Amino acid sequence: MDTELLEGLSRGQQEAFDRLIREYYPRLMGYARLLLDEENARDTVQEVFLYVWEHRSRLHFTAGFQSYLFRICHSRMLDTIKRRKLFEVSDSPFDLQLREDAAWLEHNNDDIVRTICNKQLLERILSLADELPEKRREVFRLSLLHDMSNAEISELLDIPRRTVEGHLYHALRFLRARIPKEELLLLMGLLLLR
Amino acid sequence: MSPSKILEFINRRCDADTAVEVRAWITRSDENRAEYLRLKQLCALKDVHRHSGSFEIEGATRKFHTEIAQRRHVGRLRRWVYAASSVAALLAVGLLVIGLELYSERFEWHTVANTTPDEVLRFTLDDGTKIFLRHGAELSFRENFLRRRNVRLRGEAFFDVASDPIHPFVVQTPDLHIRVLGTAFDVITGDTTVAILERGRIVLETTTGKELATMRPGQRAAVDGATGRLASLEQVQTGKYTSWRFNHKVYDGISFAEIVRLIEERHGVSIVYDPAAFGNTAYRLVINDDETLEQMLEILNLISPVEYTIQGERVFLKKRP
Repeated sequence: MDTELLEGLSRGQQEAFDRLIREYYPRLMGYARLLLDEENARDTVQEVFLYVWEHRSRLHFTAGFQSYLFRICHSRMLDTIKRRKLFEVSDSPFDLQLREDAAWLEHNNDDIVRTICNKQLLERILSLADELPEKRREVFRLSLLHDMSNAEISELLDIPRRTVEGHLYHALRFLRARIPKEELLLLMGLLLLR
Repeated sequence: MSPSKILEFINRRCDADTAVEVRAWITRSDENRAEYLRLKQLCALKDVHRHSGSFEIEGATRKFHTEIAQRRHVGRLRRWVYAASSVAALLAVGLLVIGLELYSERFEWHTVANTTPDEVLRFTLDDGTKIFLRHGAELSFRENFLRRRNVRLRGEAFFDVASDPIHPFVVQTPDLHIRVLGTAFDVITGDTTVAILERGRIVLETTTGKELATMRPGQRAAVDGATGRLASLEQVQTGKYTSWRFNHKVYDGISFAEIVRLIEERHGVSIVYDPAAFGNTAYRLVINDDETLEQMLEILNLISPVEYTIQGERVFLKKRP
């Protein structure tokens, strides 16, 4: 984040805020989606930008700006959860998991933010996915990038559900074999999938 | 555990049985949990990608600018008012009352102004009250709004007030206070302040608290600003006055020829037709602001079967036999 942009933000320049949104909207969305559904995530991320705008004069933007941004987002997410009563004490598996996830995020925040902001990792995954055989690549893209369920994919591509699951499994194994260990630290252990 | 099931669990898309199954798997070992969390991070990365489309970012940017345009702060109150009031409160009980009054002044007024190009700006206050702010109008409220539901209005607005008997809702205009219990009504400020009540009950008071009238649904009241007196109170068809909030316009008793003139003005065209062929019947016309020329001509077609051809800025209209 360069000083010019930070200065623009503190002076409330429109272009500076446009740039901020362009650069950080996707990452904040990825971050907010860790605990929220899409609609709530979107509202929350809007609130983050509005917060920065409202506090622009009181802020001294420094090198820590990125973590500042994610910190605001974190507290807004918890607010949203509280306000929308998403933390309602319920024993449904989803809610139990949500509470655990929130604690996990709290304790590993810096690492998670680093993963989310790791552009190369994302690009690597995407370009590796291009090497997959056609059908498998399509299943992988539809499932991960377009958020489609296996049932929807099986309907769309007219292949059995079990085949969809098989493609997904092999796609993830393929990725695992090609992403170096160091980068896998956090992320790619998923490919230990049996 | 198949990755697909975990992914569907993360997206909250699996059925209850699978959810229980996946959740049990996650809690079975630390290794499983770690795997779940890695998959979750992969999903986060995927979400970053999914939400990086230029269309979505443009939308977010536009929404941001609309929001900040609406948040114009008005009248920052000085701190010394609060300090002075505290001292005064210590001095005498009599002054305490004034102190409290000033204390409440401590809360900043916020103003929402409809400076958007739209006819109607719709928003909801924290108590659930729905506001339809007409173009050019401004509504101000304090930070402690939930405790004192006082708002100030300049211009025209329609209120659909959330009922709360403990906290009366008061609309302040320069010449009039309108006290409200859960209700829906329209207020227009100006030399004469006009209120139109759609449902519920509202009380009109002067700024000093003298009661002018209690309005019943379907009534329209006008209060003269100069004298502070009730100028008129009559039964009306409220829709005529309040339907602007749906962003459409109502024309009552409009003839075919007048509708044609309306279209000419709105769309900058000239319409060539024979007025004598269409008679003088009066119609009630309801249109949206964003109606296109074609849609307007279709409305004509509904009233009376017509054929039309559009050539640049001219429209030729013929009665269909």
